[in-house]
Amino acid sequence: MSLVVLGLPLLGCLVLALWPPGADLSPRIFGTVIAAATLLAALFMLPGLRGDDGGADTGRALNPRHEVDLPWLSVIDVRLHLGVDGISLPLILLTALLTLLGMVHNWVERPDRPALFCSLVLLLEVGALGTFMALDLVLFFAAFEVVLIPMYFLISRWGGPGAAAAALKFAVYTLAGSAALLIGLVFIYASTGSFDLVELSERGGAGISTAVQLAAFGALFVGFAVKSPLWPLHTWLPPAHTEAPTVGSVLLAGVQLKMGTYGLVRIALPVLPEGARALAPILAVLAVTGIVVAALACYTQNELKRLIAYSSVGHMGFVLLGVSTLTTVGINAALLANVAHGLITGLLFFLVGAVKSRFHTGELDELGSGLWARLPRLGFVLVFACVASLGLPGLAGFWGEAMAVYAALHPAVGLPGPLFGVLAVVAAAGAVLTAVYFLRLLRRLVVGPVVVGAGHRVQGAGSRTADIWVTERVVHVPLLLLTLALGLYPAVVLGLTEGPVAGLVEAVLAPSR
Amino acid sequence: MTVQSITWAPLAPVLVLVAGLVFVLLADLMLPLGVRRMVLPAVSAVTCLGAAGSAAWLRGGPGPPGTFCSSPGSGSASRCAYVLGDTAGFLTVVLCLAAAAVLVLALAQLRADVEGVTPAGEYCLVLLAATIGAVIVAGSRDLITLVVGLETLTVPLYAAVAFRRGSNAGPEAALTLLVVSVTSTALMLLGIGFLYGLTGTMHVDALAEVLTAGGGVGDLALADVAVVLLLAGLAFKVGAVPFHVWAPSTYQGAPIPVAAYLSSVSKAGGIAGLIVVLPAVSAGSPAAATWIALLAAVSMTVGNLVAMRQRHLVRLLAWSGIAQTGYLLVGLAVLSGRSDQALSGAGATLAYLAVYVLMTVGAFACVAAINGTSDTVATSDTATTDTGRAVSEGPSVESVRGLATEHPRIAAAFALFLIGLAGLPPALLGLFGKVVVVRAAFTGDAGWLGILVALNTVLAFVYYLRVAAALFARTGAAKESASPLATTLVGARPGRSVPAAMGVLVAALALAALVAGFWPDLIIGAAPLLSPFGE
Amino acid sequence: MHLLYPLIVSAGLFSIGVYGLLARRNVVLVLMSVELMLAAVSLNLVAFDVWLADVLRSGQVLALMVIAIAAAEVGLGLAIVLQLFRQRATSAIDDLDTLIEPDSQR
Repeated sequence: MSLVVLGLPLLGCLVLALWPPGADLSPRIFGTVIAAATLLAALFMLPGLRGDDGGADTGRALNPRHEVDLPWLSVIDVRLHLGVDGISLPLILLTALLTLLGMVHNWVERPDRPALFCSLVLLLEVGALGTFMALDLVLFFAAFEVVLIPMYFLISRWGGPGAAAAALKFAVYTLAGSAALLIGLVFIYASTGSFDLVELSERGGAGISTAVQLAAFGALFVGFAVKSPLWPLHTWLPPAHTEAPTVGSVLLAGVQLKMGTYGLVRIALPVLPEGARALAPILAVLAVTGIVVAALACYTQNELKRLIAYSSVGHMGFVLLGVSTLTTVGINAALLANVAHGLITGLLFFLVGAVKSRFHTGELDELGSGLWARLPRLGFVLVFACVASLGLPGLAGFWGEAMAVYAALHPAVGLPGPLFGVLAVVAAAGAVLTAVYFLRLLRRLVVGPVVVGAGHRVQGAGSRTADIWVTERVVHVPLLLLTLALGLYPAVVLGLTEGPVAGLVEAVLAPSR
Repeated sequence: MTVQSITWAPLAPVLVLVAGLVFVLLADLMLPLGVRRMVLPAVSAVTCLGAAGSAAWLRGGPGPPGTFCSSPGSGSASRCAYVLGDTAGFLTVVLCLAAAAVLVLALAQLRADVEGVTPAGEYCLVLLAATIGAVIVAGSRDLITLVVGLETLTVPLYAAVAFRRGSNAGPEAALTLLVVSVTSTALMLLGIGFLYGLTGTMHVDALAEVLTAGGGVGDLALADVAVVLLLAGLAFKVGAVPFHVWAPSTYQGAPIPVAAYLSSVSKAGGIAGLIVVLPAVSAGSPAAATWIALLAAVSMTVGNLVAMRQRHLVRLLAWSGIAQTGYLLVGLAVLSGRSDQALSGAGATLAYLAVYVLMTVGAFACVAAINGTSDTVATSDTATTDTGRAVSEGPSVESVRGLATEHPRIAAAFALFLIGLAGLPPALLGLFGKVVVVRAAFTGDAGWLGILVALNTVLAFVYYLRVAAALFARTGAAKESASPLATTLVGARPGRSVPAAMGVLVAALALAALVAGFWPDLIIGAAPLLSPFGE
Repeated sequence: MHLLYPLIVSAGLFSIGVYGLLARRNVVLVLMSVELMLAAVSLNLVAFDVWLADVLRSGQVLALMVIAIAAAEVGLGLAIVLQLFRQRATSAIDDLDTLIEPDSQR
């Protein structure tokens, strides 16, 4: 089943690459069908998660289901080893869902050369799914790299005016991080002789000296930090988001950012636990700094996409704070916040895309205000998304942030308690700052008296024809509902992640080792 | 006095190539011009394929792999001058396949050359002769055979580079190549002479024995000098810094198929020579590992840094080739080191060599396809600036901007090959090649080289991406604003269609690269000497 | 005859060849210097061979090969020089500047 989920978009990508140019409707239909089929296949993986041993995950650091283990590059011990468990499946479903919604969005905003566009989007999906399903270090690295080229072309060719420079910055920054990642991975191999993640997780760092663990974890840390992004390696994100097309932004925020934090939880923590324990405080400090700095930066932003980009940095700060606590609560918080961020920020970027396509600008100065009065449905969804993003209880964003702060107050044994306590307080303050800037945005843009801003034109100003279309509703509603569902019943995700995370912490991160 | 017995079977690839060469020579005299242009390159390409096939069939087959062996006597083993073992077989297959691809490129060029400016017979003859030299180098176990093979590889290429008739650049490039090459041959022979004087033998296995014998000849300073001279000669051939100065000028002045040949077969021949010589020579000179490591590090860095400044496509590929030589030498630096993973360093180099040859021949094929027929057009397309210097004609990064709208498949293939050279997906084969090299560096106690390779990948990405992005750029305003002078100088892109032979070649190479990316065992797994860790 | 005599002669010839290679402007003289270097190397090889009294006569064999190689190289070299001379009417090596690195000073 793993091969099906991975192979479908790959096949779709190759077919679309050879599609005759000039066709407009057929590639979009084909792309949507493939994305839908992939989502279905991913959903089919849910029941199999129980496994043969009735779902008992504890005791093993990594317990994959739907496993595929084939020799691939046998001369250097690289195998095509795929598998899913509770940690990766939510992210896989999120990726498939966002890709499908992106394909549907092609009917809202038609890209030129749709066959190439859909092909690149599917290639992006292959890379993301491969990363989440990989259980072999080289396979992980290859899939991690796959997303670079499609995203570069998506930004540079279909993006805004400053796209070329933003895309190049994104590509070189990410590649530099990947170079560090490769060094770390091969370093692990040189010390252990194995690329296989299951085997390395079982070992839990036994046989790797502390110095090597520190160095390897440092290298992996840099690689994943660029991708996450972690302050101060985040500067590639705002330009990339600003210049990218809507679908590009959604996939960047909703899928690509998850790969970094997933890599930390899946690879860096289990394989190098001593390195993790040593560097966790640094990770926590940088994460919380990111939360605060991002919130402050957001407060001064006047461009919608940049604002949401910086808010992403802040959200990922919470995720990384959760990871750095090295406890079950913390890692569960991180995974939940990951999924929530994907849903909410995906929705936000779709909405901003809607605003931009109506007003042809993202600058707050030019947009005027009183959007709710002019376009009530769009205004409502925008309010919903902003409120979810600032962490209102009852919506998805709350749980991740609250649990992360709670986990920081009770970090793992061996980590400096007082430091984490201070960081928890600062993070909570950061959450308040987040509320401040989102409310500022809402006050400025959505509520209040109608002021038609300079430099825009709304077709049929004031009439409902400029409001949300049916197709856009199809894109927004699933994200809306899922955000609400996750907020009211987080066990949807936590039920999946709890078992594997408990196994991970118990088998590897418990200090009795 | 006994006459040496010759086993003919291991010589099969060489014999096939020689038969093809004689046939081409005779057919050139008898066939009319029109037929000659197509038949001769086609026959030569088929000959190379046949040689590759025979090497693949012989590899691991029955029968002794050695030939020209001295008779065993006085307790010492029988020493063979030419051995078609695992490594030699793999190298022969790679070399012949690359030569066949280059000959297909030559076919396309000759077909477009309607006035018969380039002599078809001599062109094919020269490329075949050089291939014979390369195959001899791959299988040599004896310094004399090595020298003969290396010279057979180099000397015909002087003529090949000069074949660009009607242009100033050809003979000048040939002269550069000649002078630098002969000098390096002289240096290498000096080194061989000293080694011979010290050890009394020319055979590589015997050399290893004598040099490792404790307290003996290997400890003399003269041994170190001889080794450095020998390595310098070979380093010239692969184009390592600081022996690289000839490469960009020669590649630019030569016809594009010959540039492709230089960057693939000629370089592979140099690597083959290093693989033959290094295990033996580094036994007596532990500094050899350091020398090669330094060469690798400097080549990578300098090659990538200068390539970033290049605007002329062929020159850019030449400098990137110098950087790729650095990656190739990383495996050899490990090979001459002391760790127990040493031999797998050679395996890593062989694997990366196969990947590199595929990608570079593909890239040059795309450049040739883009350039079309302007190679053989007689002269007046050389404009001069006011200082009297001729501005080099040919494809530049600017001239391929927006190629994807006219020739989408060539553009996609070109992007694939460039990204494969950079080492990124979707050209997964390039990625695996880089992983193999970095792994060899780390397991062979040369971790700093591995880190350098990873960093250089980022550097190289900048210019590979620049070209790949230009291919897919949106055209329109950019093209109109170019002045007419600029378009003439920069090389106008010829007509709508790409020659059929080139199109087929590019498609075949791209398909091979893609398939091998998903099934890397096909190419990388075939490389000998690569062993899983701990074996 | 002691081994040292031919070795010193060979070293002297090689050095003269290197000097000629680096200092001469005329292409033909450069080729002559290279020939001198190859001759020096041949002398070296033969001297070692005789001193070692090699059964396989490797040194002399390689010297014969070097003679053949040198002849081939110089034949091609002069042909290339001739073609260059026809095109550029100069045989000075400094005047060949078409292919140097763009934007670089001479």
